[in-house]
Amino acid sequence: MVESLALVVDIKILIVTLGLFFVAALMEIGGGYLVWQWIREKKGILMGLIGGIILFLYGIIPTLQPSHFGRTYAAYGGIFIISSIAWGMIVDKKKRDRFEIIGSLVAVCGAIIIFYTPR
Amino acid sequence: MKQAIFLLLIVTALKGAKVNQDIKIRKILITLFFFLLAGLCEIGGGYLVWLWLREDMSWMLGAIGGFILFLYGIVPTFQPSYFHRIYAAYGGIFIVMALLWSLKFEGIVPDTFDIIGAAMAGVGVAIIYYAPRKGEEKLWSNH
Repeated sequence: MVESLALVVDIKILIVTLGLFFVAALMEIGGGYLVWQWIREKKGILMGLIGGIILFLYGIIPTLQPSHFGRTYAAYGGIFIISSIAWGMIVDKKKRDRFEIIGSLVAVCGAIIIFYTPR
Repeated sequence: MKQAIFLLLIVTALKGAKVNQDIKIRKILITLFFFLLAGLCEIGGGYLVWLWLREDMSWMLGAIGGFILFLYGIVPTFQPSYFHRIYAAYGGIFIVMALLWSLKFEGIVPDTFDIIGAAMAGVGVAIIYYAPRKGEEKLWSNH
């Protein structure tokens, strides 16, 4: 009973952590995308400034996380890769190619090994 | 002995790349430099914001951190590729940098699984970003 309670708490922490990571990835990629629109697509400096503000807000999110850097952040790298490819498909409407998919799978497997291997 | 084999592998790879005109070693080094620069800006900027909010230091540090994070957003625009591909590859670089960061600043030595995982992230980056694509040779020669 006590053990399963502890497990529930663990899962709660896991969900909160993962949720924060996805929000962080969304803001990081979104902010970067607006800066990209400004410089590479010549869409005006306003885009770049809004992107900069979003990136600043992104910097605040990790301060809400219970732990800092290390393996947790390696997991974030994996989430970041998936989010980037998803962003390209959904927002940017860019076709992803074979190498992007295979390479992403390999890198995400690496992140999973780092984060989930029981020690 | 291990180091010698490692060096030999690198030299062979470099020579192979010279013969193969598709992959230009110089471009690889430049793009890797931009990836690392982006990582330093992200971690450095984020760290200053952290000092402001979590360590109760001056808001000036937070403002400087915010500006560095803005610069972080500019660095990938120097990369000669597509937005989503650059960012996906950067995620793999980030995995490796996170482990190096915790080794240097938290003294946590990576174990075997960390190293295997980091190596896989590196291979992933190589496939995502450096696999030569047909019709994209121009993308790399323009910059």
